Amino acid sequence: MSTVFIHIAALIRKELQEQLRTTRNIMVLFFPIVMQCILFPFMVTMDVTDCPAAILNEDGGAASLELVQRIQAAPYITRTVRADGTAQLQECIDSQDVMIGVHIPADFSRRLARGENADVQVVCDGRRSNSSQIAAGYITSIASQMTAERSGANTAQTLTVRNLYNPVLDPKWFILPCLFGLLGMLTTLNISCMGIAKEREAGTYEQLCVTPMSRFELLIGKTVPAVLLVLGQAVIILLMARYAFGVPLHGSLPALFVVVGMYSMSLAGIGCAISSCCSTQQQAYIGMFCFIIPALLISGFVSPIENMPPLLQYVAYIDPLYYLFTATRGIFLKAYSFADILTPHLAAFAIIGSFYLIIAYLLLRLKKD
Amino acid sequence: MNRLAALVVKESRQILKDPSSVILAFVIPVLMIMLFGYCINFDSSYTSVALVLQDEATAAHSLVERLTGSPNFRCTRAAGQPEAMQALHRGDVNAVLIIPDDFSRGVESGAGARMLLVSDGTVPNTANFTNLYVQSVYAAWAAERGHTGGITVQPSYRFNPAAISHNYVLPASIAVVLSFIATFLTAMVVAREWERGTMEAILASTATRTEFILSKLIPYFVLGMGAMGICMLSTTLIFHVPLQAPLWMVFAEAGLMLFSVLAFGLLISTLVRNQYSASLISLQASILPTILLSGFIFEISSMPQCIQAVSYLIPARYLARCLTSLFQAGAVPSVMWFNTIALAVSAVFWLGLVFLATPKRLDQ
Repeated sequence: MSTVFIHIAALIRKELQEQLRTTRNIMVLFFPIVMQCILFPFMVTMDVTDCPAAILNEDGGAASLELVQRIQAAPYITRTVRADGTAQLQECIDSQDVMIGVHIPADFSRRLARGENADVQVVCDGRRSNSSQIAAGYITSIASQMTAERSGANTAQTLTVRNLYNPVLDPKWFILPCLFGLLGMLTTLNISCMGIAKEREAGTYEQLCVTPMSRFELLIGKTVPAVLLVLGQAVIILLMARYAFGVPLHGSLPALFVVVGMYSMSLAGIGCAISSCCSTQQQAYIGMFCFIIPALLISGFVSPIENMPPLLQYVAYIDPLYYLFTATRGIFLKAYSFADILTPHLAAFAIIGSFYLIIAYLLLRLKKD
Repeated sequence: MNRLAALVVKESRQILKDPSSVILAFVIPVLMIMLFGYCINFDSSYTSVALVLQDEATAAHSLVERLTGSPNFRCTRAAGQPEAMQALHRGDVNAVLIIPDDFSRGVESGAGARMLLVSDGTVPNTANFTNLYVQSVYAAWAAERGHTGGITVQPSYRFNPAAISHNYVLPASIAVVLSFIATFLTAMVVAREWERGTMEAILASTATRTEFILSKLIPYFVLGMGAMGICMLSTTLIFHVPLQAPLWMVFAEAGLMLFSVLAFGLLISTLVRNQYSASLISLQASILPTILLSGFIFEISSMPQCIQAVSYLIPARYLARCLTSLFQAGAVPSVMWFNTIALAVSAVFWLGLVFLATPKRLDQ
């Protein structure tokens, strides 16, 4: 048993020496992490803060003018363009001069004065429907506030909304815990998947094979250094999250590192399995890409899992990224402790990781002959 | 010219020898388009809400019926407030709606009634949706009971009137997928030549710098256009996204972007000179920045100025704008001119950088 540890320790030392040999290698490992920690949090925006709108007011009555004034005064409506007809309204949208068009029909004020419901049409740009839907939401809330103020009685019934864990819905509190997964994924896969393929191409893999080390030890020798380096990167992300962006860490710090370590282990297993099917670095690289994009899209980072077809929702349950995102967000914001992440998160990482490591082991043994 | 042809033939043979690039160009696009089409859906959003109903009178029940009747909600009744909050903590539900025991009495007497919606803020986007949905259902319910004239906002869509998510997600996705594939096609090729020592042979030959770069670009440009064809076929045949512009325009704009991204990949592999680092850098520099900065998920104009400046370097941003317009609105001159010129400038920029970075001599 002790020889196993000596072998593995030697492999880990060799791998770390190789990874951290030159300043250039260290830069490639850590500089992108710092850059991405600085840039990405600003890219994830949930609000539409710069929304020009075109307004076509066919009415001209007092109520319609009030609505127009309210829209012009709204904080995110940065600019309004007056349109003189539906054709002009459409043209403003077509040329993407404005994001939405507001069309107030001729009977708007009269209907309101009679105590009837009055319609306002908001024309969204189907080419940017996500953003223009959010912008249409602004108009809706302006309209409902105006309705509420016109009829005092309705305001007695109130719906109070409280956002737990992230009171002002700051997107930075969302993205920074996610970065552990996004950035850790690329590092782990590159070390395990490209690493083995590189040794194969360079011929050093054959050299390792003729040493007394077993295939199993070789796999662990790639997995552990990857985990260690990812934990090193995690320290940088943690410091940026806590001190540069002020994301609160309510949960347990050791739990965070255990989650990131286990996650990286499971990805290293996948990386080893991919590279054991490949013979060149180029193939390993393409194999890695074929894993990264689906893993990213299905994880719920880009678009919520609830909106996906049922089949893909099941696939999410074998996606390490999905577990990592819920675990790190939970540890940061929901004060998760070890008890909260034992199942399903840590269990899932252990199962996924050992499954793929076994696959990689079997494939490598098959190739030996 | 003969030299260039010879180099192109050499590169093409090398591509055909290892089928992985061909798979990358012809098989991966279908899978990617399907993934983007099925995974990214902004239009029909579901949200699950746990109800804590402490009031069993009619007013409360009519509101609950309203909520459970809406297709956007998956409502479950929680046994009590602690259980509901526990479900929120575990992430089983997106929000908890608490209707207190004096709700119906308050509504009927006109004294005013209060209820509380507690949302899970860890995913701000979902929290926003949930809050908006509950508020709008509540407002509709209150308006029906109030009978006072209100303003209703009727959303409509210019282009894509049925608001089908695929119709605007997929044209932008083509730009993103194409930019991944093209970057990955070339990110390894020059690095491979350096690693295997064949770069020295090329430098020692009479081939010029321009010939060398063109010989790397032409075969991969052909593969890239093939990938574009596959993307178009999957978008129109699998997802039935209608195309409102002539086909040549779509391919011309895509071709223009290919120069930039192929050059970007070449630049990485020329600068790094080993496949291992080229792989890590190209993954870091292309996947997330392209998804985040192409403007179809997160609105670029809402980002800080310095981030917007970074986004001008991402060619997929311009192609995404072009394609969403071409697919849904046709060739709108102002949109097309700006983005086409931007794509051309971007191509000149990245090709220029590759030209400068490619050494003419070994000791450079």
